[in-house]
Amino acid sequence: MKTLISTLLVSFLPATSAASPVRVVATLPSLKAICEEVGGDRVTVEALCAPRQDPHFLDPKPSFIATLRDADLLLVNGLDYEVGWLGPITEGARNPRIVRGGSGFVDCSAGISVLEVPAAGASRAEGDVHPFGNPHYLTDPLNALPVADTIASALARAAPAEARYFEERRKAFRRRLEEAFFGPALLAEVGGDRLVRLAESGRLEEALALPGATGKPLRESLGGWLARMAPHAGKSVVTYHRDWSYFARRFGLTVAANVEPKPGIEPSAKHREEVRELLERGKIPFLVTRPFVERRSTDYLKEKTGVSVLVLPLEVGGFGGERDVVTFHGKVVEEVAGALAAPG
Amino acid sequence: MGGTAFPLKERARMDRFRLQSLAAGLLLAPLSRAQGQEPTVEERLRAAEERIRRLERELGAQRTPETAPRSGLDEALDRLLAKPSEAPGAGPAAPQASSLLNPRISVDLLFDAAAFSREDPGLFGGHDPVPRGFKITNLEFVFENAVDPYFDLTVIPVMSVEEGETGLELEEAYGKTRALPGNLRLLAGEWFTHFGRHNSMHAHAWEFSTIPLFLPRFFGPDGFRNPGLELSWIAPTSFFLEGLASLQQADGENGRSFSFEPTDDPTDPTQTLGGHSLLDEDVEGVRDLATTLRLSASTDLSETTTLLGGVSAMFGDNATGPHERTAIYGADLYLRWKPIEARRGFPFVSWQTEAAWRDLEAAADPSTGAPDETLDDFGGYSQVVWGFFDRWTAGGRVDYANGDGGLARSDDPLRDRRARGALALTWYPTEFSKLRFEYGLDRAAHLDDRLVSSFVLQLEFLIGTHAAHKF
Repeated sequence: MKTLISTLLVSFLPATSAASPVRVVATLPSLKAICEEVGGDRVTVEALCAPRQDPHFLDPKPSFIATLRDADLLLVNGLDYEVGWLGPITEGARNPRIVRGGSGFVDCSAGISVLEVPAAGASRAEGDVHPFGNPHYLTDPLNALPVADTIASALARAAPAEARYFEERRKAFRRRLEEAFFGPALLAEVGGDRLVRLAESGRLEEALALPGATGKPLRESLGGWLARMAPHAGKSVVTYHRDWSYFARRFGLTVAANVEPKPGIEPSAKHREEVRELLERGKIPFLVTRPFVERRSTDYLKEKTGVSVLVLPLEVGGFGGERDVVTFHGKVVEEVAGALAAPG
Repeated sequence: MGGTAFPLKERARMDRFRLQSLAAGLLLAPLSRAQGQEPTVEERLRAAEERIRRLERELGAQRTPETAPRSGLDEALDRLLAKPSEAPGAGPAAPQASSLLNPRISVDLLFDAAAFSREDPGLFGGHDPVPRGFKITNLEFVFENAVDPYFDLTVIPVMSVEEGETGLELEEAYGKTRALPGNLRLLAGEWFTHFGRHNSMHAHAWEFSTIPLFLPRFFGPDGFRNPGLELSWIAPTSFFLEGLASLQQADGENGRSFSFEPTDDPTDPTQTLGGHSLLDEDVEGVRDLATTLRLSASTDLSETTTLLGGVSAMFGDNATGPHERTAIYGADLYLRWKPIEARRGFPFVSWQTEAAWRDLEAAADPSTGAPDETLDDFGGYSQVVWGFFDRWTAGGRVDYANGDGGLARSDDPLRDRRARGALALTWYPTEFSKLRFEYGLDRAAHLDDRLVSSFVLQLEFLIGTHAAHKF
């Protein structure tokens, strides 16, 4: 009986105490992981979506309302990715900080160069189009940097006394990610900020042809994920959905086709045949699919063409066990580079 | 390397060393030079300070990238960065100004084709698929946006076409607070009362084509919705716990158990309550309004299974007499299972059950011979929906209602014993459309206890803003 009473009492206590770290709720596990990089032990972060769950079709469970009720910050992917379920829970939470327009509502797409923004006049006749552009920007490892900047600013606003701590952790995360992406030698020679700007402006290839300190082209200092993927630049891949556009752009891959004829629309037999022909004609070695879509089409294409099918998670934790952004992207790069290097 | 034999960091370190040496020299110098009586101490200090400032300027200059000697690589990289970007991408997505300020709009059309084994199947729901043939059951417009930092506004007019007549009705229109402290929210306007689970759902979100039996019996064709105020609160608990209280007008066609206004047709059995004639009275006090209280709680039984339950109560004076009271109590339960790796929301299983009881004090009616009595009514349904395959659901529902007390109950379509069942098969081409086939079997005392079959084909089309789903 005592246990029952104490359990009831505990459940009626406030969920968090006043002196606690910044309470952050992220819609996606990857946003949670980036926030943990920046926030360290001065934040608590909870993700609403599980790593292998489809963030577009999440149920707005009442428990999310309880989670959001006391949050200081809500990190969202934005670009309408969470449009199907976010509204009812942010409204239901009665927490003015985390409603759109509130001081703690953080749209992490703020600093992103968005791809595939539909032209004026687009409609759902073209499938489940996202009116603000492709929301899957977190598949590009370098996009974690502007997201970390956005989160660091939001954390500093929420806890000004910890601003320096957040800034130092943001810098450390930036350096770690840049080193993993460009390799330590190139990073030391050119500098992370300049490398990222070159990559963003599409001028990195030209820069790598320039002579470095030793007189040899900078390309020889290239390391990290970029070096791992460099031999495959220009190759074509097929993806199930348009979720790898940012990744493909970053590493110079071409997405030759999607298994879905239009976003969110399952393939017809005719479209499946068109993809089969393309896979055979283009000698495309593999296609990328996501954990939460039908397997019939990809199984069919695998059986008919021998293409290898790679099921890639979109979120940190999706492989199982990895908890940080750098490890997650490292695994993605290894999987993709491995598949591209395999004899076709 | 552009005139820099050492990296900047190394050069800065060397200059710091030079500065420190100079400072040490300055400290020692007065002792040795004072003996020669040449420059004064002040002069030496001024000269030393000048040297320090000069060296600091030099060091600072070396630390400032703008003035640092530039390598050929630096210059080449800067030239590259100065070129126009070649990367695809539209930059940060910029919504059009109009889309920020205009209301979000969606339009939802619900269209039914229905056949019944009896000409009049005795359905009383405002969105029920009667009569036989085709029907624009519901054309719903939703307009919503933030009014200012303090309020949101939602306006939902609906149109329907019945026997060639087009009707326009304001289904909901309410403002609600965005930033009330203490986990509170105030809602003002007209809305579907948060009594139970089904009452606040719009017709296009139903899993079956007909409204559960108890709602038109206890409230009206659309359930209960009327103008009023609602205050709701989320408890500071580790699980979801919400309490709300509302006060609404209790008249109009939805206030059947309260201040319902009868028509002039005395032969219409739906215009009385258990044989008790109804008075047309104005609101004189809070007793004449409908007061609703609700408590709901939810917990995640596991990562994939969620349980949501609630109890509701509604009170108010009814129209059988000047001070007769009605009390309606309800309980609802919703259980939903969906695996983590569900494909576009499938598969899933949901079980929804709701029951309601009404105690209605009815004044004696000498005109009909009805005594002073309490009318007791019960209604409830239970339904299971299984998303058995991508974009396909199969569902079954049993629905029951019955009354006790009153006159000629077995002839009263809103108080007789009635039981029905329905099976529905629904295909969702996308989130924005659906095609449903439903078969129903119905047995009601006022329809001579004979079985009535129904066949309904229902189509839904949604355009406009992506509506958020409710749990």
